[in-house]
Amino acid sequence: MKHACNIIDLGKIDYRGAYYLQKRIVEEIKFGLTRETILFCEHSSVITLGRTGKMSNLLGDIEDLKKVGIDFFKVDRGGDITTHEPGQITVYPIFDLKKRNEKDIHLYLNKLQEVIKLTLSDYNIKAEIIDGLTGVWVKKRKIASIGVGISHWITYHGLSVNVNNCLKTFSFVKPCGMDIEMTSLSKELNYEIDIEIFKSKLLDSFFKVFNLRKGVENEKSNFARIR
Amino acid sequence: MKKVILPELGEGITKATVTYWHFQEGDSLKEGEDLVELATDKATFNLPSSATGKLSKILVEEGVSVEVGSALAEIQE
Repeated sequence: MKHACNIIDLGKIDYRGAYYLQKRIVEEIKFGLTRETILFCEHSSVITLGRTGKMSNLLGDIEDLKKVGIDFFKVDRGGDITTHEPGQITVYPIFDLKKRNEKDIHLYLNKLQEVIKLTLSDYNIKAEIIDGLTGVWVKKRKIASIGVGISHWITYHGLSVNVNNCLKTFSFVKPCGMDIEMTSLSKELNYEIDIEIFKSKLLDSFFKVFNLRKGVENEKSNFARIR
Repeated sequence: MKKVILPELGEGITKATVTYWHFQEGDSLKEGEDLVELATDKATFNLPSSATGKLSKILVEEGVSVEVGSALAEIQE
């Protein structure tokens, strides 16, 4: 049976706003007020440090970053340091792994990687998974990052794929604490990607990998009001 | 007294690191409230309290890594 799912495209939204929205939806799912939800968005430039991340992987002063319009947050997701910027697509899947009978963190992370790989294959990009390094890579260059949080086996945080972003914000960090080269889909293909088409391909991959179908709006949810 | 045990988190995951206690020793808490956050790989996992009562003892401090099946805390019901 396919799982019904709400799909919300938030467009451009600041990091904090998207975070509180995720937490609220997690609570709604916990109390049976809404169904699984996928949020799509683009963030303004921001650097985030995960729970197990090291401040030394931030290559700059927080105040100096703010002067050039880059925010900084310490967040409750797994993983180290990463960045978001316009042109990058961030997806927050809020899935109930208990209800799915899939209480397995590795399985969930692998499925997120699979979603990205499948989407990129539509652009004839052969993406790779590197053992021990969560994320998705193209010829040793990192194109997508993953970091999740789980509460009551309901997921939040998620994944980011570099699509048209200039990757400038990454120059202020040591992504995942390593010396790695970042890339984007437009850089690999040498042309500007239609972001709406990309999102719809990404959503199709979610539908396939997570066995989803689009749900209708749940009337008991307060979700429509918060938007 | 009820022990809070680190459950199975997935195939191949044998350990997790305690990253944040949502409550302190002596605090009252309800069953189902997020009690402790653990990190593994690229995920943080919030373990809910298995009982309603008082958090009588924290057995694993933040920053310490523990095996699946280990006791993390004690709750006085």
